Amino acid sequence: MTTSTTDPQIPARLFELLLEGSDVGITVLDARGAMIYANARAATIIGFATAAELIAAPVTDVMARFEMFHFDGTPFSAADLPSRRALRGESPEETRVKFRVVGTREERWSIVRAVPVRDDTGAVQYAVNFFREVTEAHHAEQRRAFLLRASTELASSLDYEQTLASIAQLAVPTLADWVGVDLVVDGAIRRVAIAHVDPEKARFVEELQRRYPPDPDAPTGVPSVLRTGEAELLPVIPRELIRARARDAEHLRLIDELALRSYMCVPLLVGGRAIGAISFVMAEPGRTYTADDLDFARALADRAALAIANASRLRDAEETARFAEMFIGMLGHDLRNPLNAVTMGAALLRRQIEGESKPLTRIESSTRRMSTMVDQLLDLTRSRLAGGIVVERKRCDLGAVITGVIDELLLAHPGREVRWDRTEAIGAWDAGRLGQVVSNLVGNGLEHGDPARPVTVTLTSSADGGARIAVHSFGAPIPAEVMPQLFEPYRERTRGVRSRGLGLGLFITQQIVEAHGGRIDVTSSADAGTTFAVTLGGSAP
Amino acid sequence: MNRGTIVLVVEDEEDTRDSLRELLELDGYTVATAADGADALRQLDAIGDDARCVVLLDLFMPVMNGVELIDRLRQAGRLDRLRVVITTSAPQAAPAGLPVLVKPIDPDRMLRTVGQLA
Repeated sequence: MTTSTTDPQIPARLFELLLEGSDVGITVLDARGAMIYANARAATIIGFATAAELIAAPVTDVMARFEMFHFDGTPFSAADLPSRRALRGESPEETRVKFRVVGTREERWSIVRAVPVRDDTGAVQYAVNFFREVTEAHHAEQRRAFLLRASTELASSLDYEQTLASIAQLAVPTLADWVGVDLVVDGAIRRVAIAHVDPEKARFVEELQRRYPPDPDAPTGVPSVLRTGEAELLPVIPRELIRARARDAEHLRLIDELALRSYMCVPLLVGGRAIGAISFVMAEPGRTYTADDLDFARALADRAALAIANASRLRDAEETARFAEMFIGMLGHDLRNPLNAVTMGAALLRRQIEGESKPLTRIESSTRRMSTMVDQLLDLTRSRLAGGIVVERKRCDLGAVITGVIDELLLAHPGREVRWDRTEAIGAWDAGRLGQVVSNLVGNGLEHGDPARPVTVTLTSSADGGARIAVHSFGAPIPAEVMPQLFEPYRERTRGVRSRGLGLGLFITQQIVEAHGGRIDVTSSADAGTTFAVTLGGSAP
Repeated sequence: MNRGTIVLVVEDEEDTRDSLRELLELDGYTVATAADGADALRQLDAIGDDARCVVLLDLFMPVMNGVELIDRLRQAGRLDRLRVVITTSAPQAAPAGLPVLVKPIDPDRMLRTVGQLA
């Protein structure tokens, strides 16, 4: 602090007014360390009614009132106080000290500075001590940091009950002695989280709530906040209120044991409706909640409410999706039985009718298509819900599998040509599943390829016991923009392309190949045509 | 292939049961039918253990299902003398070690399978 005046006549009374009006606590110590001056602010900060009382008190008594800490919580030695250092002739820098009133949890944060005053010989005559209380600013900083941490916590998980519990725990003891989180579940108030400085007390609060469940029509407290959506703040809980709220003498005794001092409760608002409430209580004497604290609690509740709303929306969506896929699975199974009867009936007709029957051919090809769709729906459900398509590895002659599949496909595509020079590849694969892969790829070639040109299948075995199946067809190439999503389910449907199937064939093909630890690649151009290549790793049969 | 073989169709759905019976009869087999596992046990008693018999067995049926029937036959030591083929819409539920025809059954494949076992 620099004071400058050019008027030597400035009255001493004016200096006194300046000192007394200051928001900075000021004390002066003589060379022996005895306090010879204190302003009113200093008395207030240190906890005396008047400056005169503070000056009259022995220094040891004053110091005994506090424990001192650095801001990081480590103990602060009295010898390091700027006033003591100034008396030793040093020029100490501004120092941050946290004072705790002995016997309470009340804490005050201060920034302390001191300057030595020397006589003509240079000896230290006095130390002038300035201290500025920054407790409020510190609390604001704590709240900011807490909100940041709570936001991260809330965004980290969809299990919001767990998250609310950890936030309640985070708030104790810095922001509250105990925190309760209540949610409205099926119309009833349910306490989902409670945190107390003293874990024993947390159980006590639970017990209290169990024995005296909250009255939903209560005029104050959680029920009222839930009903009205309005926050409540009681900087000092009036004794009469506790008395009025107690149901009987025992209830009053139990509440008294909690020593409630200061309280606030904020609603968790989703779309203007209170879905829950967070209560903060200070029990120990000392801090009381202020309007700033209430603003902070509201900000926290808004973040929590948003997280809960998001989590439950996502949960609903996931549940709907799961139900839909499960339903598809059940439907698929149930469709197979009537489909079976139609297939059998058509086969009987085929044996009884002489010559060609177009209607019967259509019944046969339609039931085949429908049967493929049902198989694919079930495979989709399995790959999405049942942890993926399961492959049963047995000794498998891939050449025989391909021959069988091609023979069957040619029955359904008379007049088409499939070139296949049978080669051999034997390994531990799932013959049924790989038959599905070959059937899908060759079937695609027949359906989408140039009908005037053949589809070619080649099988090569590799030195490591693996195999490569390539299916080539001519015709219009696969458009470049389709390539990245080629193996996604329902691709054709979502692009609005009319398809003869469900658009699941390539998805399931890829799932089967990957379940074998293999890969599928595709190349397509107007000149070279389209080739799907399945590469399977080797493993001992 | 032995056209003297008796084929027992065990299937609770009447349409499917009748269609299978007719297809097999057209192919020259003698066919018996049962609507559930308990019914199948009675039919097998009537057929006797000396006859060559292929059983087309559905899995999900009332009274006694296919899996229970197989357990009963295995316990009685009769399973080895029979040739059982599972017909089902849920192949993953089929007991291991037995041939499976997945519904909807391909009639030609069904006749090929029975032909190989008969």
